Parts: sequence; structure tokens; C-alpha cells
Amino acid sequence: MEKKILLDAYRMMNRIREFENEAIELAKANATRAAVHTYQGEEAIAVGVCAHMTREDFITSTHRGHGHCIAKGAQLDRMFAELLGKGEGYCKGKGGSMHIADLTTGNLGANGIVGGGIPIAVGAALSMQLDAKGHFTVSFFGDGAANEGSFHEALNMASIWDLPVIFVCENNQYGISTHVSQSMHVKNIADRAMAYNMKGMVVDGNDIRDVYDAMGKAVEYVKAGKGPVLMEMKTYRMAGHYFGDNQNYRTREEVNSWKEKDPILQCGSLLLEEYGVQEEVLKQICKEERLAVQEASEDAKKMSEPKIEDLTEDLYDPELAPITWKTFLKADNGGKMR
Amino acid sequence: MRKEVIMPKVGLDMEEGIIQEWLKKVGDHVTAGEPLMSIETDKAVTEIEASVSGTLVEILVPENEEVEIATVVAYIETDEE
Repeated sequence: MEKKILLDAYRMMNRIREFENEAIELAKANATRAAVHTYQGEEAIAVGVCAHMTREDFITSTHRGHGHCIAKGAQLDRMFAELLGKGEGYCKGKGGSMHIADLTTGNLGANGIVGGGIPIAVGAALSMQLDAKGHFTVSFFGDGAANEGSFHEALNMASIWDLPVIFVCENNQYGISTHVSQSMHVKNIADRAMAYNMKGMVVDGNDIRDVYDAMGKAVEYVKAGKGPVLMEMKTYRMAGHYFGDNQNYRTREEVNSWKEKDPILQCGSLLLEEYGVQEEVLKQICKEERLAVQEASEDAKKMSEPKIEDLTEDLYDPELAPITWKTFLKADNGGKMR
Repeated sequence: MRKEVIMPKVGLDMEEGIIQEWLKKVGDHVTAGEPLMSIETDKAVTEIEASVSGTLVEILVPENEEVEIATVVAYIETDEE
């Protein structure tokens, strides 16, 4: 991994960590409009994967999707605006934390349905195969999603048609409060690739270099038209399932032992020890990202509330279903604003 | 920098919470991620971790008192400027 790429990855991982820490502060203060699922501890995956992607390559994301969204190039202020339900948010404040989509960066969207993004990625990959421009799709999902029917159906179809799609399973070991050992009987989720005659890879998801190198190989494979790849990233969710989760299903010792394997700390050590980067440089990067996140959060707070007239905008095709908020009001209470 | 510690909203329908226990005293140093207080809501008791590293300089809400969410309950003087 080149030094510049690794330094950029370190910066991006810090940006995600700071964003997530701030998202929790906003949730604590009752400023967010829905549950907030954060990505602390899993940053190396989004960053290492997206480092190999252009804006023309697509991703589908999950309820824990802020990291993917940022790594794909989203603007932090518009993301915060979405969390806060502001009109300038990526989905005009109607989606919230779990539903940010940003087509300008090739992000087909987070998804509140576990496993919901996987078949969408297969459809996107089919369009890319037909277009034949060499693009590919990545679908991020968790260990819980790997037990959903949509996972198996999607892998089967992608395999039949040799579609350019990389399934990135972020195995953070817990589906909400259920440990993987209680929900599946395979050692590696990647072993399930075999059932679909597909390439499977097991990767240390806390090691940016391992993620980046493995992803490089996966991209080469799908671009050569050899079909889809299932990558399992072994990782750990350092924070709760969502902010407010009291985590009584695991011990503080277990959480602390994984904090020692923090992907950002590991990346920092690598830069110091093997790439000769000065500690001051790393500190400066952390500080810059912290300030950028703070500024984006403050900017988002000042953005405007969405207008009530726009409530049904983007929900229905205006030609096929000419339903507006006014129609609802009329039906409900004679057109009077409540 | 003096940073506010608030009664956090830990559940979607939470409106107020009780400080069940302060896990640090005034004057103690606390590291970000370390348990700072436990709070009691209608549903459960939850340990809340400090979001910044610094010295706990002031506690505004004593144990067993109930306050609305987002109420300032303490101040931490952070290590960084």
C-alpha cells in the first residue's frame, strides 16, 4: 500500500470516527429524529473498500451506513442535515440516519431493512454488465443479513449471471444482541460462497492494509468477468447497536479487548513504524478532521426545516399518482392546516 | 475548554431520566469512553460514558434526582484547548 493512499485512508477513518462521535452527541441531545447506529471500530472496511471505487461504481449500504456514505465521498454537512431532519439533507430530511442516498457519489442508499440492499446491488450490477463499461457494485451488509433469504437469493442470481458485484459482509459479531455463534453454524460466512460456486475471501476487517489488498484482488476478479465475490470482513462493533443500547449481552472486558485492535490505532502505528510518518502529522490529521466535523455539524444545525407542502414530494410519481399533501389535508379535515 | 455533560436521550420515547449514580467525583479525571454516570429510565439502568477526556469540575444534578433529557448535569474541563 502506497504511503499517500494509507495517509488518505487514515484521514478518512478519522473523519468517520469523528462523525460518529458527533452523531451520538446529537442523539443524546435529542436533536436527531430517529435511532442512530454508529460505525466505530469498522472504519477500515468502508475506507479500504471505497478506496478502489469511482463515483461510477455503486454501493448499497445498511442501517449502519454513515461510514460507507462518507468513504464514498458524501458531504458531512448534508449528512448531518439529514440526521437532523433538515430540508438541505441528502433526502430533504425525510430519510434520517438510516436512509441516506447520494446518487452523485454512486451511493444507492442505506436501508433500514436488514439484507434489503443486497438484491438492489445485484440489479445494479446487472445494469453494469449490460452497459459493459467496466463498472461494478459493492453491497455492504452485516452478519445478521447473511441469514436472510435475500442474501441467498441475491448470491445465487449474481453467480448464475457472473455479475460484477462484490458482497462485503461486515461480520461485527452481533446481530443487535445475538452473537454469531448463536445464529449460524459455519466458522466463516465467506464459506457460504462455495454453495454458489463463487469466490469467497476472509479478511481482517480491522486491518486497513488487509482490507485494501483483498479488495484490490476482488476488483480485479470481477472486472475480468469472472463473476461475483463474497468478502467476509472480521470486525467488531465498538459502540452499542444504536446509541442507548445498554449492551448487557456482552462484557466491558470484551469491548475493551477489541479497543486494542482499533483499526485507526493500528493504521496510525503502521504509519509511524513502517512508513516513517511523524506523530505530529497524524495528530494534525485528527485535529483537522475533528474541526471539519464540528463545523459541518454547526452548519447543519443552522439549515432550514423542510416545508410541510413538500411532505409528499418525491414519494409518488406526479403523473401516475397526482397525490399531494393538500389532497391528504382535504380528505382529512376539509383542507385546513392543523 | 468547559464541556457540558447532559442527561442523554437513550431511548426513542425517553423524556426524563434519573441520575442513579455518579461514577466519578468532582476533581476526578475521566477519559473519553470511560463510564461517567449511570442513569435510570423507565426501561433500564444504563452506564453513560464520557464523550471527552478531562477533569470533572462540577456536578449540577445529584444522585436520585430526575431531570428532563438534554438538561446539563455536569461540566468537564477538557484536556485539550
